[in-house]
Amino acid sequence: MGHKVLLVDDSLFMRNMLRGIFEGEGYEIVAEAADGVEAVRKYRDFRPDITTMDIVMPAKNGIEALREIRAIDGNARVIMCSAVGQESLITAAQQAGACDFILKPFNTERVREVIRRVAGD
Amino acid sequence: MRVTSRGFIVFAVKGERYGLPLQVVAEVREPSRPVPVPRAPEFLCGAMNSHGRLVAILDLASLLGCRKTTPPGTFLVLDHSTANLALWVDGVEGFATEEGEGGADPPDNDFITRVVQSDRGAFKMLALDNVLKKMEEVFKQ
Amino acid sequence: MDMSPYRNLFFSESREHLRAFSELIVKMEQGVGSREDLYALFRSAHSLKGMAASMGYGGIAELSHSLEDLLDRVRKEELIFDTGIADLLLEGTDLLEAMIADVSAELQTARNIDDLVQRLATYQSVPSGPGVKSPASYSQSPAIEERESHDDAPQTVRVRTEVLDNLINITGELITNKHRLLTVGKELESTSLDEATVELSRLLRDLHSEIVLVRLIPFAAVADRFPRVVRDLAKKIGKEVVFEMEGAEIELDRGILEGLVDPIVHILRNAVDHALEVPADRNACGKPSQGRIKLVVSREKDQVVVAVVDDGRGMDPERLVSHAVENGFIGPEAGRLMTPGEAFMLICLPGFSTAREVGAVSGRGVGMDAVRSTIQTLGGNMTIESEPGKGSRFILRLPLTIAIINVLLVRLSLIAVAIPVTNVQRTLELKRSLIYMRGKQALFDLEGEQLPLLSLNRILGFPHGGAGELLPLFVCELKGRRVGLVVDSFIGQQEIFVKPLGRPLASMKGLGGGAVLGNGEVVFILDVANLL
Repeated sequence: MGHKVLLVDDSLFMRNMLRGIFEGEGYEIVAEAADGVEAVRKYRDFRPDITTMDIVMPAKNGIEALREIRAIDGNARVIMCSAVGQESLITAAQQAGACDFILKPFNTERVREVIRRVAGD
Repeated sequence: MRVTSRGFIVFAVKGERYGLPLQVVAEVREPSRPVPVPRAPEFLCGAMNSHGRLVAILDLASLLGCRKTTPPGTFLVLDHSTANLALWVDGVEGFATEEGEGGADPPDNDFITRVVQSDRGAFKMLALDNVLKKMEEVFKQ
Repeated sequence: MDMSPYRNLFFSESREHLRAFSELIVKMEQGVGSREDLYALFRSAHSLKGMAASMGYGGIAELSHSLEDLLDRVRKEELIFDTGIADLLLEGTDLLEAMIADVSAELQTARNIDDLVQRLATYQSVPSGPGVKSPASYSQSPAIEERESHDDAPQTVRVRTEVLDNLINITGELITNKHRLLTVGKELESTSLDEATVELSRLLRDLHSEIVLVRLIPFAAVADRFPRVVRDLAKKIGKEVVFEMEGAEIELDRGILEGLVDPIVHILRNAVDHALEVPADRNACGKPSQGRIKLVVSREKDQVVVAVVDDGRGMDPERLVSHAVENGFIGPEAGRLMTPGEAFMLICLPGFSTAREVGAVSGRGVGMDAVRSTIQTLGGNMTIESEPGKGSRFILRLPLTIAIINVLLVRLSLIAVAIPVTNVQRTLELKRSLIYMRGKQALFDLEGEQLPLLSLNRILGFPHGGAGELLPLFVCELKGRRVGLVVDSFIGQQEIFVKPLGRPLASMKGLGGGAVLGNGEVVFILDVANLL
């Protein structure tokens, strides 16, 4: 409990939804980012325990941001979030070091399950 | 597009029943004393402050060609995206839902769009846009 | 999961996506879009799909998905971005907008998306030929990674527009309440209360100026629909138009900006429809076949100037005047005295361009009376410049912010009214014995000049006021003539927060706005220039 979380998604709507789920589980959202560049910077500044990362985003996509974050911190725990239709990216993300995957639209139960597993709670 | 459910508010003016779509009415309230408006024609009974908006008050009976509404009556304050206007009517009967296809021909009156058959019986649908246009036309003179 | 807390955000965010979507489509179609613009289109469709699916709006998600797939094919260069694609995407945008409006209004409507989804899925580019524009190519933009990072981006928050409206309303009420405190302070003769009120005044001024700043939004917030308006109409009537915009970053009050949309759309449509010639006619007089329409926003002191400029056929002031005289809109004498600027404004007379035998005037003024009155309601004005054969320029000048103005409050027989102090030349109390008559007109002398004396009660249709030995009056200019207007009494001078009248009262001749005083009393602000 009490893990620090960074939410990365270009949609405020999606970030708010995720925030609702995480906060319901007792996690602390330390920062949000709306694109890949901001994600890397916020990761460096806040050193979250868990990061959720959208894939399709402006400025820098989620997979590139994931690679850079893993370069900064080899133990970074990053959960990729992606909409249906982007399954082909799953392999790319796994190779880049993603811990787990959540498919949009979010199924709350599935999100909770992934979070708990990644957080090791 | 086919709309499967539509709500109306039904009100009375000089014994006749009229209606408006629910979404254009913001509030039904007790009449308050209107502030006289310069150069007001007979159908404009004044204006009032409604939650910070200045709202004109229309005596609907008078515009429709009947004698003036007799107090107290009721104010129907319209939604601000429609107009800064309240209608002074005799009273509100309630809410209604349309039943079946509105088959009746549009009546020969610019201020009525059609006759609606509802679960509360028939009522005349007010042509709000024509009402506003008529008011503006008179105001400009 | 209960999605209701996210509903409003879904609507605001999805509408933002759709607005950006239309603008990008038109940009791509005109061949000025970059690869990054194409990605942005793709991302918008993608985001919309994800959001709609999360909300459980299946139809919206499905249609967004089809748009995304089509864009993906363009992105992978299986298709080129041509007019056919632009049409399909715009049709999809319209349908999505309608569907989102339905769920937003909680209407249960069944819209058929199958046909469009099918056409999106099976679209193949048509080979170039008559009636089909050559495929739009996109300029290669720098790689995405090279885009500047957002390190300096200021922190922003979203505020619902009603909150902004409430803030300015409450500030207005606070300012009127301050005047009430001032009055009480005077009655009590309390120095400490006076000092506190003066301090309060200063704070309120600061608060007001901050809130005015918060309400400023860039013109760009509404501008994305304009390219589409021009494009759709030009396409429909077979004209070729290049549309350009300048100064979209200029900021003005959101209330004023929202009110500007319809008038601008109207002027743009008139420009495409009536001002621009068809390509053949343009070529015949040595112009390029593509007409140009430019929307230029600029700032001049405390005003924002919006100009719609076209290079079409222009208007001839003399023909406008003779048309106006022939159809009885003005007398021949008035016609002779008209400046070109006044002559162009004739097109704003209701019915002017629909009168018979209009020839070259045809259609130019359709709906311009409504445009002019909307602009005036917003506290602005409009002027027109034109040169036959060269083109026209419609210029709208608007206040930058919502107004707090200084007024003279006077009491009449039935109500109090406010006169902007800028319209009041002086006030005085006139002895009855100094009034004299010439025919039916009462006059009095002021500074060696004979001024007509009029009753403001009478002008406004109110009953006669009080009849003391001294007549309170103020001097102002009506129709170019100095006059004295008699009132019942002076209440005093104060700052009031102007409330726009809106429909239908804004049409009332002689009224410029309204206000609510500290005691809750409603007053009207007179539009002195149009009082008679």
